[in-house]
Amino acid sequence: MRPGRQRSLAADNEQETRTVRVSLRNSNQDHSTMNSDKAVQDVIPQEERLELDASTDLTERTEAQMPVCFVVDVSGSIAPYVADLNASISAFCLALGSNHRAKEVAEIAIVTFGDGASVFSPFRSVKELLELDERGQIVGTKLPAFDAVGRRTAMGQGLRVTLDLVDRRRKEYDDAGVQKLTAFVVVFTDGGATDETAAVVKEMSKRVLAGHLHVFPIAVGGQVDMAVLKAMSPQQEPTRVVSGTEIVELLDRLSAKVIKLSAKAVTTNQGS
Amino acid sequence: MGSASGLLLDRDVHRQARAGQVAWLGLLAAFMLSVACHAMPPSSSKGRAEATTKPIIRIFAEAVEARELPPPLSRTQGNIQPNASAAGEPLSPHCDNQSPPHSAMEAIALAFPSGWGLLFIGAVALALTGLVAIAADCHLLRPPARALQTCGHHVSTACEHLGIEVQRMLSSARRVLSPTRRAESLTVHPLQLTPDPEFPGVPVLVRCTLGPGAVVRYGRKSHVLGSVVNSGGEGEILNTSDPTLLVKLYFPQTLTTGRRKKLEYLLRSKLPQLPANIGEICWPLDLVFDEDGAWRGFVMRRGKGDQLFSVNKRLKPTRATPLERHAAARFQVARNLATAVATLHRVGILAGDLNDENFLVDGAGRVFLIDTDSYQVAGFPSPVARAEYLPAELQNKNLEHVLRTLDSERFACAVLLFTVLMGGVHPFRRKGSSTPQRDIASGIFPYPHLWRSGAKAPAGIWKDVWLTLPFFVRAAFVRTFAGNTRGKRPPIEAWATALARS
Repeated sequence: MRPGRQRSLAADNEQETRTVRVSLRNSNQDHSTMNSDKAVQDVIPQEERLELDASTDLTERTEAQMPVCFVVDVSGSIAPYVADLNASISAFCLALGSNHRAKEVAEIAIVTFGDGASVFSPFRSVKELLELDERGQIVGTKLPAFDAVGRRTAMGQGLRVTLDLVDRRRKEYDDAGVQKLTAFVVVFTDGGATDETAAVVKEMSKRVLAGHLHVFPIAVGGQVDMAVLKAMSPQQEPTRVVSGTEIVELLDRLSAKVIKLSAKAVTTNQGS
Repeated sequence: MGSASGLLLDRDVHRQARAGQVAWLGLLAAFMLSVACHAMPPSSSKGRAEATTKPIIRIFAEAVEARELPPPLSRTQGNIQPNASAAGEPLSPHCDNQSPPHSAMEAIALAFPSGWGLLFIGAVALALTGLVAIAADCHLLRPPARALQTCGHHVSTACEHLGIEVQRMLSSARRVLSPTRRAESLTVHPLQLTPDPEFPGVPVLVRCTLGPGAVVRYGRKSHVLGSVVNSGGEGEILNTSDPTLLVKLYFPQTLTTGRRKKLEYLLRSKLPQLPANIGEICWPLDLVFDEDGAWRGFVMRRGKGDQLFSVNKRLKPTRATPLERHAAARFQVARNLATAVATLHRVGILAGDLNDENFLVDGAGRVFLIDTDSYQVAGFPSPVARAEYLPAELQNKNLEHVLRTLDSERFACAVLLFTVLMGGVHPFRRKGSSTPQRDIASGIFPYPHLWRSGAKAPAGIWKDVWLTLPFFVRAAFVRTFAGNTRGKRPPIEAWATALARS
């Protein structure tokens, strides 16, 4: 018996009692239509059980999942932009969290590369990443903030770690029998790679063409090797940003795109 | 406590599934045995040496024929018969002490004067296995501790099921499981096969976009628009000064002459309504014009409750709680949904864009159908859809120029009913799933039913939840989803009937 589960069950029962009261009050106000069916009892709980739905168990998720991975250069030279990068990734997460479908669909991970490369934050559902107050209102995200401390730019390693991470997640979806949407990879870098990138970039572009990945390469500042970024994604031109405000605006647009894909990508032919 | 009961329940469900499979196998075996015995050809007896090379059914026949008809033998005599033969007391000239029975089956055959005895055994076995199957389906096969607690209830349920199932099999099941033309024959306006050539038409020129605070006119009065309630692919829905009404304003690119023609057709028509205990269809009530007098959208009644999407989340079964929790609510919502869609079909209207955001569900489980302007009426197509509700034949089609059929609507509605009854999970989700579109195109429905294997069912509780659904509801889902079911899908009215009895 896990204590967490006990607590959530107790909370659930309490919630149910409360919601029945709420719904009874609501139904009393609906005189227009409820007169003819007074015998009908309230059967639908009125509020969503956030604490139960933010489950880490993949098998209990009902929506198709879309992994979104931020691949961030944390070499020392990017230090002036680090605060904006952290803030805009959090804002991205909050924007998805405010959409009822996107928060069920998207998962966010962060990979950092500098002297080496590592998974800074593994894939977690947006719903799981949202920080809630006692009333259930969203007050922030649980995403950790990264620092820029590296001396080198191991972009090749970073991309390799990203591909492995996304592949592993897709395999986990397969095992759990979860439907999956095309993964999003957003790459931020401010300079040229100090390691070998040709092979991994080729592999990445291959997966883009196969429909497994959408890659959004973003050059921060004016010193970036655009050829590498362009080779990563044959379908998406790299974007150059030169200020923190531009990063925030760009991720805002990107969150709108992800929301649209999570909710409406499956909608066909909305007018022509 | 919760987790313990959850695990117990998982085991139960697997046990049920196994018992069900065994029961069906037994049933099949008994049936074949009885048929084999009944169909034995009366043949003349031949020599012993020849008999050894014959199929076993001929051996039965000869053994039976070889006996002098009556005296009929009792079961006891039959049991001792092989010993008697072995002891050198031949019962007939052709059944000497050198012909011991070849198998237990032959021994049974020897014990009875004709195939009728075996037919009787077959019938008894058939009845027994049938009872076991029904018991498995009625959750009778549970661990003793739980069975003791709920035995009385289950026995009465089993008896009730026995009667109801037989009735269903003879009458309503025929409609559930076989494609019929019943829904079509009920249509008041026959379904058209060609889309209206003027749809979607040309855009109407407007001066500016409208938003909250703008003044619009409908009925005979002017009204101030409130905040935006929802925004979709075709337009925005806004509050208005009357709290019971909402206004939908089309985006300029979708504000076309064809859409206005469709709305005017709807406003002229006598549209079907739902009983108050089922819910309401929020039909367009009037056209909405801006201050310049240009048409901008329509006004409709505000639905109550929340989107089906979020209601599904609330009713979702979890591993931590018993699977039956909220099952009654799920069934009630599904029943109301099926009734509402069947009401539309009865007058030849197809909902078209059926999805979990176009239904509101209130606290009493009543359904409110919104987005009614996108329904397919007469020759006006329903131009939008979510791909996870489209059958394989409509995937990647331009729906502005293609009319849906009752058959494709049955698929969409069944997907909707499946997600409601299963707590939000898509029917084609399985081990090794891809995107919903590709899963639908594959036609692989992963859940077990009768001889269908459930090996590809998604991990987690979903197979267990599936097994809690009534037999005929499962059968109808299989009929709708498994393989290429185009033209064979059960009508929604049959769903409404089947769910009403569940």
